[in-house]
Amino acid sequence: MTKRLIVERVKRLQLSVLVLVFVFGVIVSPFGVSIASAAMSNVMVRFDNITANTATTGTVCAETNQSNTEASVHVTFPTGYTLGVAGNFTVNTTNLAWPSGASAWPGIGTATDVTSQEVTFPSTTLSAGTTYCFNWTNTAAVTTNATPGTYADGLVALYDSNPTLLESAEFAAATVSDSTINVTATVPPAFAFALSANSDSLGDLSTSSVTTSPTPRTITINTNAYAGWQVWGKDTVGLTSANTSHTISSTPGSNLTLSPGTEGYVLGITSSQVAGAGTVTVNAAFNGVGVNDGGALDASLRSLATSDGTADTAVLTLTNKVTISGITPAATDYTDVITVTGAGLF
Amino acid sequence: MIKTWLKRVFFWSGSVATLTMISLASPMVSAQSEQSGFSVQVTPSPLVATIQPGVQSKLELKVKNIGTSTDTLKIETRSFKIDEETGAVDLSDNSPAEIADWISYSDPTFTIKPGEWQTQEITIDLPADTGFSYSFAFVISRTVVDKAESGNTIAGSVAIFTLLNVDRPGAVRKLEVTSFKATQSFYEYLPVRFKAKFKNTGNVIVQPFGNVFIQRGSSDAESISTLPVNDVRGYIIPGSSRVIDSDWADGFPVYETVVSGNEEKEDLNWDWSKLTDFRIGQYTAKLIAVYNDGMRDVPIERTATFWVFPWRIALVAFAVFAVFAAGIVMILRKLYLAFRRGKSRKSKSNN
Repeated sequence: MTKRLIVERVKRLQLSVLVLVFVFGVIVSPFGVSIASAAMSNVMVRFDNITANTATTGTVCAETNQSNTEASVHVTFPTGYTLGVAGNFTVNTTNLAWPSGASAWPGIGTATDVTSQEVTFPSTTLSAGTTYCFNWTNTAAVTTNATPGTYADGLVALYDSNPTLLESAEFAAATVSDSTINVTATVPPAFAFALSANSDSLGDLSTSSVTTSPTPRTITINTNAYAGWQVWGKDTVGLTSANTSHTISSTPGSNLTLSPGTEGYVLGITSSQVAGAGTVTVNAAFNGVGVNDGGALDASLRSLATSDGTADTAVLTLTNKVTISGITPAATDYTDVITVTGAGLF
Repeated sequence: MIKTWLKRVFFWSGSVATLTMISLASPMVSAQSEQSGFSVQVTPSPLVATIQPGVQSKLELKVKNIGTSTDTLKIETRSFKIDEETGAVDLSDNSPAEIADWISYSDPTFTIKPGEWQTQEITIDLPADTGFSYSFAFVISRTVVDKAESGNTIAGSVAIFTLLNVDRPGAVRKLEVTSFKATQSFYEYLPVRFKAKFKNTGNVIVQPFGNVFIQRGSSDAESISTLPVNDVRGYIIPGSSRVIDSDWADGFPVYETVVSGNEEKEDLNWDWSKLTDFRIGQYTAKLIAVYNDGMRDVPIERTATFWVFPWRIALVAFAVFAVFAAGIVMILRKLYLAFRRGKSRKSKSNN
């Protein structure tokens, strides 16, 4: 086979593909649409509960674009929706937040037939250009698909008395995962907060090193709160000596690294957790992984750490870190009061 | 005899004196001993209820002392707000002015022994003409905190977030999804994180839920994966927004967070049993969120598209393919040359 022959055959193949695409796209596809009936507008099938595998009531609305003599409306529910018998499809025409301008569906009544997914309701003649609605009122009529998903194979169709299809339009439905809240009287949401001690003596401060809590205090949290927990903290105005009227403090708002010889006072936090769905996140400003790192508190409550789920023995270790300079006034009464507050989130 | 008697008297009087001194000294020691850490369990937390206007509503809050010493505690009402940018809860030291006057406690201060439960009865006495929802916090703390003479004093407290919907005409349950997107438009490997930002535009507290369906196209009938949205049943208070994350991690390979000491890092997990979950190409995430408007579920739909392209795997695959193809080409070329040589030799011999 010569090179020229191969090129020739490839060109022919490309042409054939183009012709096929053209024939399908321009001729066959429109024909596929044209064999269906004319489409209605403003078609809506609204389920009052879209949780998967849930019995529900709902509303059907549609607007005809033609003047015909309708005798029935057929609603085909998407695959996977479980339908009750025809007698369960009782209806009313109470306006339950219908689309604006919608009218009661004339001649609507309890369904006369349920075949596979198709439910037949009686109807009388509809006026073109008017949106009509009705509600099915018995939850035994429809149970949503057990698998969460979107289902686009629903159909609302109008028939005359023959019955001949007059108009139809598709609708899509969706179900979402079970929304049941499994909270019972025996397992209410609870939050436990335990502070290991209420004092943290820092001893003698030095200009040559950063002094840290000799025994860092811990907060232990246990909670079954689904949304997690949060801990906030504040202090007075830093480590203050009443005798010398001097305060050792740092500027809050960012993570600081203390340097020996330069006055500073921060709280560094590390975290751990034995078990639980939540991930503990220490506020970056108070990250105390670095030995001299931490953030300053002030008089307003600042978020120290959060978690986004349940916690079994989540522990926050609070390490106070202080440095002084050569001119920091000597005194034995430097004190501070740190307030920490914990809560289960909502 | 007298000597022995004197010895006994001396011994007993000494013992009594010693015991008396010890018994007298003990309260001083305990008074100077360090106050134990604040340790409390509360339930329910959060406290969520629907109350009626114009009638007294009673809420129960149980408090347990899980510490080792008897504590005297107090309960107070505090306000909070949601940070619009970060969604974080900002707890305040201030009392919620709009509802504080209508709240009263059965025991504003109470003493509770270790292991003991105390039930706090909270009365909410809303007037008939009131708001549609209230959100605030009850804060429990010690009445007195012993301050250290030097160093730090750490005072603990517990907040109980309280969300109250008021059952009255005119309540509007309305929710909007102000944005829904993947955190990146391109990923090399899963997980893909989606962020759906909900805004409560009504006047009552709502609790949306739903799913993110991962599909090849937005109109696909079947989804590849179904992710929960707000499966933690988080609430959104009126006027506030909340960003709810959903992660699609159903892939091969997939990044996983590994904790090593205090450090967290992302490691690729090559779980070969999930080889069929290899992801490549463009995907559509369809969010269907639902809230109940008081009568029915109201669905909200949003879509976002993103790409997953494991370019390093693709590069290796392409290199392997290129080497393989080059090998095939070389073999075919050699065969072709051999064939031509044979043909020319044949024609020469024929000549």
